[in-house]
Amino acid sequence: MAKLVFGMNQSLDGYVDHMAFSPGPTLFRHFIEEAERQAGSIYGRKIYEIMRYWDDDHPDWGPEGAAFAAAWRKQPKWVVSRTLKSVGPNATLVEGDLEGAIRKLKAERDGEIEVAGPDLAHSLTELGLVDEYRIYLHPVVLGHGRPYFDGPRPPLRLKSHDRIGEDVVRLTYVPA
Amino acid sequence: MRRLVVWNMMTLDGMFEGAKPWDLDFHTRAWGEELEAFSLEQGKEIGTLLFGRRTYEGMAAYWTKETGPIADMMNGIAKAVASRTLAKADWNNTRLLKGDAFDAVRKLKAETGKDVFVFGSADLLSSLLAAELVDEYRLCLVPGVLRKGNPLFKPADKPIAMTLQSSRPLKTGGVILTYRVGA
Repeated sequence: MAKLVFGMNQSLDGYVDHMAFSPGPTLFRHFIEEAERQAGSIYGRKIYEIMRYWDDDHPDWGPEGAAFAAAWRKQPKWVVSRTLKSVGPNATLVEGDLEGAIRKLKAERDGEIEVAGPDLAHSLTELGLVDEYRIYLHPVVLGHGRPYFDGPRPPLRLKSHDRIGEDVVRLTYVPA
Repeated sequence: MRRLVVWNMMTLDGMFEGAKPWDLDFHTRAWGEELEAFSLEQGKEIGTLLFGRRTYEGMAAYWTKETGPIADMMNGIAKAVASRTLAKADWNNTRLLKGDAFDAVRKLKAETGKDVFVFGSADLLSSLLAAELVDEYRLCLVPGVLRKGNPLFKPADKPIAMTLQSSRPLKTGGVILTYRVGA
């Protein structure tokens, strides 16, 4: 049975914004290791279109960028969207009944499956399907943005607390 | 120059108060022996406790009726309230700072002694942060989400970078985080 994990970079005032956080080298290496370990990723349309950046080679990458791209391309991706007609390599459109499709995915696989972004995570939380919330807390107050928590949440319990690199605190919460 | 240190308990979605004023039930999720001990230790660092008017009025009403070591600390400690509208500040050992809040806070920081601490007071803090008068944020992140509530950090156009000083998980699942303002 796979575990669904909603992990995102977040500001102190609770916002997620992929443009606001460029991970330092330690955090980026952590994300590479995570990408290598994960059994796959479930994306909403917006975040999938952003992540498709990694399907193409970019000349300004160092070895780290190439390593992340390699890991990400190897993972199966499942994209939840009613408007997308086609998806890229190693990706499948999730159609029809979301709850049924995701339950089947969890039952058929083992390990960790990443969920992104906040809209999809909210829908899956309402269905009781998210097993862990991982907040990568960055030392910045953004002032505005999309909230990480976009709706009611179950009561949460702190499962673990880690420092990643100099200034990021990773907090993992599970439904209590 | 004394430092200005903020202490607040905050939910994961950035609220320091619920939807109704003084709705602080969420504190109980993180409160316990460790936080009580932390509060008393922190009390020893405080030279002046500075409030905005709303927090001052609520705190005064609450603590003057309470007993115990934290109540003793809150009632006894030197306090200041920055307000142009308050006529008088009756809570034991309080100075009323009238006029321009920035001037008043700068003068307060210039006094000798232990640091200036701020509890609650999100509106006052919002302007002090923008005026670069806040030095440190100490936050106890509570394992809960309110969604409807009063955010500690008010909407702003520009991001403010901070530097992580320490992070400490508590047995209750709260996490005490300390950030210095500035990169």
